[in-house]
Amino acid sequence: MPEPVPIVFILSLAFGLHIALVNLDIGLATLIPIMKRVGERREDEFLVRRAKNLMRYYAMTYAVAGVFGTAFTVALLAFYPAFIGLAGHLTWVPFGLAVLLIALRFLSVAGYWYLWDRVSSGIHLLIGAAMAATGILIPLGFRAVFAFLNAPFGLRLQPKPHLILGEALSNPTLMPLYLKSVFGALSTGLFVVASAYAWRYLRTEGELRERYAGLVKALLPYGTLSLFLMLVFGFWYTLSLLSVSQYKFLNIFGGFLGADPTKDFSWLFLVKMALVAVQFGVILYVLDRLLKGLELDDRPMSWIKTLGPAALGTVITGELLNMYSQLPYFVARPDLFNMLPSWVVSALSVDTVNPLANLPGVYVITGAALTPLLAAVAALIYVATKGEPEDLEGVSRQREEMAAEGGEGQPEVGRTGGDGGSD
Amino acid sequence: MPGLVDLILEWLRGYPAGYERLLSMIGIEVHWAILQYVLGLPLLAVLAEAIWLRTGNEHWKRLSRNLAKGFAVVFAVGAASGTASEFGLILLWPNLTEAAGRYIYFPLYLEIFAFITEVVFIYLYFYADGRVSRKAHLLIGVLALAGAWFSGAMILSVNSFMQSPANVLANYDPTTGSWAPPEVLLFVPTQVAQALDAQKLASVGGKLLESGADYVLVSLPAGLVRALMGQAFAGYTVGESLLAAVARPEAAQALASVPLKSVLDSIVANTVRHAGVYTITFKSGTYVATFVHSIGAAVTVSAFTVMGAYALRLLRTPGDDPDREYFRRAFKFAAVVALVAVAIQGTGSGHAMGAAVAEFNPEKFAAMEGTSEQITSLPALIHAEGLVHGKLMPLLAYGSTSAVIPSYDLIQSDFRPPLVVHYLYYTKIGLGVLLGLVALLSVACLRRSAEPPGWALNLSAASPVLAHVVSFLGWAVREMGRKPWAIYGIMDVQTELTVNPPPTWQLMLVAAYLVALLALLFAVVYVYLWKREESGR
Repeated sequence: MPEPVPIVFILSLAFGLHIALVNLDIGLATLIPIMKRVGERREDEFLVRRAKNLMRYYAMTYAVAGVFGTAFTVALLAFYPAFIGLAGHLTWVPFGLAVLLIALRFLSVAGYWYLWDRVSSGIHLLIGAAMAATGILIPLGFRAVFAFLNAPFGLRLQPKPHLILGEALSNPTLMPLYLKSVFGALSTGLFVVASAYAWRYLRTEGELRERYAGLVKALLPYGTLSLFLMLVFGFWYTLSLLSVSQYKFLNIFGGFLGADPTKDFSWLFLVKMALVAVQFGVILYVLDRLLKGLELDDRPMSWIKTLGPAALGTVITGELLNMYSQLPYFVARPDLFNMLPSWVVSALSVDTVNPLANLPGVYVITGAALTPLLAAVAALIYVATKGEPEDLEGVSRQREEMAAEGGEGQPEVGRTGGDGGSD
Repeated sequence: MPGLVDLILEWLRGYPAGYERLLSMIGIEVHWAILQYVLGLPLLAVLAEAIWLRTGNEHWKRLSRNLAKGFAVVFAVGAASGTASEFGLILLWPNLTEAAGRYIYFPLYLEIFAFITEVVFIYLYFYADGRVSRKAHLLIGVLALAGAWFSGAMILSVNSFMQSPANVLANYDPTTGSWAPPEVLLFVPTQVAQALDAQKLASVGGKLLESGADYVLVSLPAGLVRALMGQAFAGYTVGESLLAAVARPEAAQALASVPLKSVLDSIVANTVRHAGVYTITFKSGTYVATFVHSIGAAVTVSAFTVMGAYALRLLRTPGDDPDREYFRRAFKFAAVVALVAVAIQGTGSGHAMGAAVAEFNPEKFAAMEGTSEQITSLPALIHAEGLVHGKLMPLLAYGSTSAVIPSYDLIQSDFRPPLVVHYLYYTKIGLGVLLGLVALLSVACLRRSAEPPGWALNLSAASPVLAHVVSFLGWAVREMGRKPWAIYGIMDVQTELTVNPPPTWQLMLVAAYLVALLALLFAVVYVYLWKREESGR
């Protein structure tokens, strides 16, 4: 792990969790409105209720992702205030666009949640489309900043530090990075949901098994296509790095090419590729069975369960690789540093840690607070996902209880009934 | 005499970065409007659940569960709006953000853990209902509440530090009414202090107070600190800065090409070390009152909102509806909490807040009271200036009717906050009293009859809007009254601003967009969640 170890560990943890959840978030925000719409058109109550249950988890995913995103930014601010200050002066447009979309997003998420069954299906779909679209578009602003960190296109220092927007947006690493991220998020979201349904399939008896198997079969092709596209755009991203940020390129691939990278992270790339290989291995196995006319029974479903964790692992390792491979700099073009004023160079170095924050007490507090809290996060995930199997009519224990107490599937004002699902 | 519009324009144009401030105000208000429910609803849910545990009446459980469902998504929306606000602050005020990260990061850092506590226990409260024992579920609720308030305690300490840093001494004497600029106490590293010329320092109002192992305690007038901070963030070297004027000649020459920012950084960092890296923000004189008053505002807004929602349900539910008894109980519960909360806000924490402002921000206090010949203050308008400004306010603020409240006109012009806060403050007080009367009437009606009259329900239904307005005005007075400062006595608005301020049209577009989103949010809530009910859906 790169220096300074404790800080990079804290940042990696917050960023890794944020990224995992954001990817899930984008996938779910896209999947849920589609799933509900398909269910409505086919008059398939089961599918509509699955969409609503996913929405319940999505609310949690969305919130936890936001919390860890804020945690990452705050940690970055505490340890690297000069870098954040510099970024603030330069990034009004890309971060500003992201902020506008974040604002639209929380409105659409709240609207989609609260207006379920309260507005016409068409209007609800429109709100869902806004939820999905903003989920997909928000990363554009953030990726523009990441692209800038790959190579500072558009940066001018005279008469004052500023950004030429057109040049910044023409950064060759921007589009491949963005598209790779979006398709990675879609494959992650779809595979995690497919894994959850495979897990549900294995725990369920009777007719419901077939419904879950059907869902898994429906999700896998789209997840596979997204994964494939992620690889295509990932390759494009690699080429773009080679053209504009050889420092970063060599830190990722130099180990394979016999070059002498400053920080060799080829091992992390291998880990990522191994996780991708696991996903393709499972997909090929499933495909083989389907081509042979075999059903997706317990054995393939057990394998499909691994797709979600492997997909999450892929995006986390990919993001960490992207972050580590430019260390110890925030901008992966050290060859340009001799043209920059010393205060800018200092602000762009990971080694320039805020001395008031780089204290043993901070690390002790972090460890002491994070350990139980991460255990509590695990408990939350366990409780949230520990559902009751339900029958085809969806009369779960929870719904029965709610109905007995007056039925509350929504907040009291204007409620129209519970959804009852618990998977 | 300037009119209200003139005073608003004076706030907007009389200080730097008017439109940036306006956008920040709107963005943060959007966040605060939502956040109040994250801070307030868990308390109401936990109280309702505790009553359920004691009485066994299922209505209380139903109320608690409905409130939990309400704040589960409100929290997610609050987290997202918080992220948007955070980025807004970084983009518009990067120098302030950098300074906060550099010197007072610790409560912000602790907020990470508060956030995680919040998110874990708020969602556990939501998901674990019926899956853990009743008492365990209540405990989870208490932890969710603790997480939310812990988070509030951290961010409010940072805001309080910006209002009144522990090392900045306001210079107002209420026994004589004399005012002077605030003084900033700095623990200057010994090596840097050796470069200072005591006589030159004295000529600009600075004083060398005492020495320690690694410092010399120096008092500087806030005007000088403000100027130095501005020059530091503008990239001046020591040789180009005011510091050279108070340095010994040989030191000034030796340090001429050194960035002023790095010298100031060593001074401020040393000051923070001596004040306490982990505790400095909590030592702000306004902190405790701020925390209690802000949490109280959130509880008040939440209670009035719940009261308003159930008033609407009662208005729109037929008398024989089986749910009516539940709605009545929920309405009564919210009305009682609202009354208690607004009473504490008005008489307890509100008073403490006012007294703290009078002591630590006398300039803001003068503006709030409108003690200026430039305007007709509201007490003067009703011919009660002698009573209000001469007796009542001195008694409330300083505990003596013989004390004198600060005169706005005696304050040096570049230290004056905008006078519009006077009207905002008194409007807030008036509407706050009205809010208290609404709660009092609701509770009084419920004591007379189990079925509140229609007019009381209609009044209650409108009260959430009033509560939001009062809460907003409170923050508006606090933040607009912080001008001309970003951090009182240390950094002004011009210094905190980005070097690349966006064009005004972009700022206004974003502001309009945020206002439109908030309006849409409230319209959707009203039309689809409440009004729809009326049409029988």
